[in-house]
Amino acid sequence: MKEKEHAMHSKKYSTAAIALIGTLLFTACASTPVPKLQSTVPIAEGTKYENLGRSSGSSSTWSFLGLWMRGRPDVDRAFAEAIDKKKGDAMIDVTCRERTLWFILFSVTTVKVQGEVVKFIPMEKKDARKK
Amino acid sequence: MAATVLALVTLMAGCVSVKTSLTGVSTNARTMESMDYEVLGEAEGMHSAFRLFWILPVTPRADREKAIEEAVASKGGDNLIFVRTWRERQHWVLGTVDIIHVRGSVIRYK
Repeated sequence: MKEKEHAMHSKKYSTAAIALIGTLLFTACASTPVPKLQSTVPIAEGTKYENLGRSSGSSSTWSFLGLWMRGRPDVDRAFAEAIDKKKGDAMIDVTCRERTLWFILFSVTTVKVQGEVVKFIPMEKKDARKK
Repeated sequence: MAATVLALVTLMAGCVSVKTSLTGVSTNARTMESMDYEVLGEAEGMHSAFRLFWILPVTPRADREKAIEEAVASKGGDNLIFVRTWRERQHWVLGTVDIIHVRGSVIRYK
């Protein structure tokens, strides 16, 4: 009786192991870099700003069977998230990266932005960069 | 078998796949003539191309410059800043549609 129970447990574990290996085999990842961005807004020579430090933001969307994508990753939201984290005005030295993770039935595409968040120091002259 | 294929094609309404990828983010679309400008607002432009049976070009290639022109003209500005560019590719039963989307803040020099 005990031997039968042990055999059943072993069978369950081996099925789970096969399923896990199968899942790992059928998943994949690809990452695409997007050319580096100097700044999110043009910065004139002599413009004073405070560097608030490094920040990042991301946005994702998914595709059914890796074929039909639902909308597109919202890069605006990724930038807004990164800038809002440090309560700044813009970003400089930004790297963007698009990464796709494939699973059996769907894939997830994520856009990640990373860079330095800056806050402009108001000058006496009217600054047009601020909306 | 033929009925299954027909049913599948009908269900997919001819659209075999849709994929969008971010191709670039840039500070400005064209060289900045002056740093004295006003922001007119966000705008989006697009330009597309079609290839019959996935390989035969029917229209000129999708052009990013034309998408930029459309975005700038929609607000009557001079340039586009904080430019985000995506490429969308739709595969249909009859062919492929390539679309370039450009989004940014339209500016006008003072």
